Amino acid sequence: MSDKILEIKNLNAGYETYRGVSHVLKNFNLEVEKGEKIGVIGESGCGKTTTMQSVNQILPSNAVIKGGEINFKGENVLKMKEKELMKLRKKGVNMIPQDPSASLNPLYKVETQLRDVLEISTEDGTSYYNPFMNLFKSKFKNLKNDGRKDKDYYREKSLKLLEDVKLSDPERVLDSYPFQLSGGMKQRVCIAMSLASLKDLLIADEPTTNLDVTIQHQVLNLIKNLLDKENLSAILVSQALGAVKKFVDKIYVVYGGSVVEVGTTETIFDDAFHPYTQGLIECMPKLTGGGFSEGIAGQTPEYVNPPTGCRFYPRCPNSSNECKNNTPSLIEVEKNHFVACEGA
Amino acid sequence: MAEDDLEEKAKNIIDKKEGLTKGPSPLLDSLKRRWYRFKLNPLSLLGLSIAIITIFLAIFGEHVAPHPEHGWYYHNYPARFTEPFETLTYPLGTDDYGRCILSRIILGFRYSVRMAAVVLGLTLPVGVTSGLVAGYHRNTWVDTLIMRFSDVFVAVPPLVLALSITGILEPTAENAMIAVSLGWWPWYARITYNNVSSLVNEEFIKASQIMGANKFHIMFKNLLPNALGPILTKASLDVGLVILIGASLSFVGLGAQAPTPDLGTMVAAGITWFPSRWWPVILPSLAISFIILGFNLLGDGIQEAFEEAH
Amino acid sequence: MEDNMLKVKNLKKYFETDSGIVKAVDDISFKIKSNEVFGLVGESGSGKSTTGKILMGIHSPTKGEILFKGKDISTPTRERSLSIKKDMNMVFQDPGGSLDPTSTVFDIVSLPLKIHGLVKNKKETVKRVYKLLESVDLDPDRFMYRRPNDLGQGEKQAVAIARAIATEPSFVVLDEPTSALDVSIQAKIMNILIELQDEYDMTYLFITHDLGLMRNIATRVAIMYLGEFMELADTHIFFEEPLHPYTKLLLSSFPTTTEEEEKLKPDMEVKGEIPSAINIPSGCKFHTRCPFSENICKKEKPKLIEKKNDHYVACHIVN
Repeated sequence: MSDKILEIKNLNAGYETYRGVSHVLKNFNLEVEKGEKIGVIGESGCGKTTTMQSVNQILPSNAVIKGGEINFKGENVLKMKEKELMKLRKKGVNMIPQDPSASLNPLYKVETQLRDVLEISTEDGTSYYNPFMNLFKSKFKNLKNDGRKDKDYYREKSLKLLEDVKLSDPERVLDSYPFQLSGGMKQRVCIAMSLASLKDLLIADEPTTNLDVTIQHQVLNLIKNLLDKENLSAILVSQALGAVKKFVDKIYVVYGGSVVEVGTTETIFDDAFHPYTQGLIECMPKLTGGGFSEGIAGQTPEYVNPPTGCRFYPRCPNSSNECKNNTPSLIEVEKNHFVACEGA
Repeated sequence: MAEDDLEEKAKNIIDKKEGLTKGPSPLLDSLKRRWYRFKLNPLSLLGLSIAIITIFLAIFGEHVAPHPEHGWYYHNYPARFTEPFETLTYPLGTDDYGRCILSRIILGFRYSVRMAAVVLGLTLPVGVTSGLVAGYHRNTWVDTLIMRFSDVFVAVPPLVLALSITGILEPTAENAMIAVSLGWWPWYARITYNNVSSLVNEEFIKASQIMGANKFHIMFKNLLPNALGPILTKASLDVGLVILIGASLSFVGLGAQAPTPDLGTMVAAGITWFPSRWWPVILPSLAISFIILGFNLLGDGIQEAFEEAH
Repeated sequence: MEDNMLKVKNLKKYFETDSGIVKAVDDISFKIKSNEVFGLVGESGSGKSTTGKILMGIHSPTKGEILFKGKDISTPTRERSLSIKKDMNMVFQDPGGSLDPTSTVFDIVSLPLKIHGLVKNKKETVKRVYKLLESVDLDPDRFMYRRPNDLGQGEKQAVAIARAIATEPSFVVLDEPTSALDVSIQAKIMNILIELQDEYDMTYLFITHDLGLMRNIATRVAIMYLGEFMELADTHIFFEEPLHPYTKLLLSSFPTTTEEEEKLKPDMEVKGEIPSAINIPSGCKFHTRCPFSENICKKEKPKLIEKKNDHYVACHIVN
C-alpha cells in the first residue's frame, strides 16, 4: 500500500466577486505519493493556483470552499485548526510562489530573509516565532538552546544555497536588497529559500517562467536531484508542457477547474486522449518548423455562470449532446491513464 | 462582413438604433464593481449617508428649518437662551438674539458646503491642469516654471496664508474662499504631477506617441483619466478639511460675518457666554464635526472603491 | 525602389547607471528587406528589446545610423514626421500595459485612423474599426465598446495588433508579442500575425527569446548576446546548420516534444549564466561560457564575418 502524501478529493471552490459567486474548482481530484513528482499543467484561469493555495490554506479572504477533502498524510487540511495549519506550513508543505517580487520583503536584505527561513526551519514545528523571546534568549545564552546558531553559520549555509541555484555572485546577492536584483535572480532566491528547508511536499507554482531557458534547465535539475536524494514529493505547476517534461513522472492536465487527463509523461505526450490535451500539444511550436496550429477555438469558461456538464464542451471538436448534460468523471482508459471525457 | 451589411450596421450603430455591445455595458459594469468594493465597509455607507444629508440640507435648508427667518437679522429677546430639548418650538434652544439654533445650524450647512464647492471647484481645474502639463513636460522649462511657481504657495501653511490674505483684504466669506483656494491649488498640482510622471513611462503612452497622437490628446485623453483616482480621493478627503479651515477663519472673524448663520461664526459668537450657556458653542461645533466625519468616511470609501486590484 | 526597407549601421546604445555604463547595444549592423520577417533572438540582457525600441524612437542611439526607406530615423519619436509614424508601428510585450485602461476598444483602434486623416466621418470610422477587429478574430459586436479591463490577455493583444496595423504600415516591430500569453492563444495570435503580414504586405522585426516561435515565423534570424550579434543567417540554415557555440547552446536547451526535434538539437551541456551587463567579459563576450574558448577569445573581439552565403558568424574558432 503506497504512501499518499497528498490526496485532493472532489474539491469544489470559488470566489465571491461583484458579479456573484464564481465556481472555479469543480470536483477536482489529485493524488501525490511519497517520492513522486507530478506536473500540473493548465493555462491561466484554470484553477491551478487556487488548488495549490487551498493545500496550505493561503487563499485570499474572498475565497469560498464549497466541499471536498484535502488530505495531507491522511489528515484533512480543510478541517485543521490554526496551530495544525502552522505545523503543516512549517514542516509539511513548501511553496515556491509564482511572483517572486511579491514574496520577497523589500525592506530586508536577502541575507536576513534567508537566515529567517533557515532559523525557522530548524525550530520545533509548533512554536510561534517570537522576536522578544529570541532577544531574551540571546542575552542569556545559558538558557535552553533551541537550535539557533550564530550569524556566520547561517551566512555560510545561505551562500551554499545561492550557489546551488546557480547565482553567479552569491556574496553580492546576499548583501543586496530585492529591488537591486533582476526578476530571474529574485526567482532563484525564492527557490533557494524553499530548498533551505526541504519538506515532505514541495509545490512550485511556475518557478521558472521568468528565467532564461538555459537556466531553467539547470535549476529544475537541481531541484529534482535534491528531492530525489531524500525521496521527497513535488508538484510542479506550469503552463508549458515542454518545461516539465523531463522532471515529472506523472502529469495532470487541468481545464476549467477540473482535471481532464492524468497519465505518465510518455502517455500524455505520445498518446493523449482528451481533445484539450491534444490541442495543447499541437499548439507547441516545433523546432523543426511546420507553422502554427490553429489553436483551440473559443475562450476560457466564465466561472460565475459556468457551462453545465463538461466545461470543455463549448470548445471541443468532438462534442455531442451528452457532453452538455453530464459532467464526465475520471475513468481509467488504460493502466495509469485517466481521462474525464464522455468520449472515453 | 459584406459591404452593404457593414454600411447598414455602421448606420445603425451611429443612430443608436442598435445596441453597442452584446453583454453588460462597460460603464455599468465598472460602476457595479466600484459600488461593490465601496459598500464592503459599512463605515463608507455611513459616510455616504452623512454626505447626502449634508448636501440635501445645503440645498433645501430653508424648507427644512422650522424658523428659516432666523437666519438673518432677527431678534426675539424674550426667547433668548432657551435651553435645548426643553420646548418643541426651539428643539435645540436659542442663541443670544433669541434665534432658533436648529434652524441656523441647518441653514449653516449651506455656507460650509459652498465653501468646499467653491474652493475645490477653483483649485481642482487649475491645480490638476498645471500638474498635468508640468508632468508631461518633465525636466523642461515648462515643468520648472509651473512647479516652482506653485512652490511659492506651498511654502506657507494654508491656514496662515488664508489668515494673511483675508487680513489684508476685507474679511468676507468670498475672500475667505479665495484665500483658501490660493493656498490649496499647489497640492493638486503636485499630486497630479507625481502621478503623471510615473504614467508617462507606461507603454500605452508610448504607443500613442509612436502612432503620432498630439500632446493635447495624450495629456487630456490618455493621462488625465488615468491619474484621476488619487485626485478624486484627495478631493473627497479635502472637503472636510476645507470646511474646517473655513469654519476656523469665520471663528477668528475673517470669514462670513454676523448675522450670517455660518457654523464657525456661530461658534465664535457663542464663546462669550461659554461655558454656562454651552449650546450656542457645542451644537454648531458638533455640526461641523458631523460634516467632516461624513466626508472623511466617504473619502476612505472612495479610495477603497477606486483601488485597482492587481 | 529601395530594396532594403531598413538599414542599420554600427548601432550603439549605452546607458549610464549608478553602477556603471551598461552597453545594451554594442555595435550591430544589419539590413531588413521588404516583406521579410527578421527575427531577433536572445536571452535577457541581450539588447534585443532595446534595439526594437531604438528603431521606434523610444530610445535614441548613442551612435550609429538607421535608415528607413532611405530616410534617417535616428531621432526620438516626438521629432519624427507624421508620415513616418504612419508607416512604422509597434506591438508591445505586455498586452495590458499597451492599452489605455480608460479608453474603449473603439477609441484605441480608431485613434490612428483619425490622427492620419484616414477616415472622413463617424460612419467610415465605425466601418473601418469593424473590419479591423474582424481581421484579428475579435467579434466586433462583442468587443467594440468594451474597455481593456474586460478583455482576456489574448484579446488585449489582438486589439494592440489591430491598432498597430490600422494605418497599413509597411514596417512593424513586434517585441515579444506572445510571451505573456497562454500557449493555445499564442498559436492563434501567431497565425493572425502571419495572415496580416500577407494581406497588408508588411515587413516585421520579430523579437523573442523563444526559438520555437522564431523557427516558424522568421525568414532570417539574428542571435544577440550582451548587445552583439553572434550569428545571422536565413532561418532554415540557422536551425539546421548552426555554427556559433551560443546558438548551439540555446538550441540544446529547447524543450522538445518530438523525436525529429531531438535529432535537430545539438549536443551541448549547458553551463554558467549571462554575466552582469556591467562586468562584460573581455574579448569575445561569450568566452566565459564557451566550451571551445581559447586564448584569443579572451583577448580579441571576433568580427561578424560572412562564413558562407549570407551566413554571418562572430567567432574566432569558427572563422
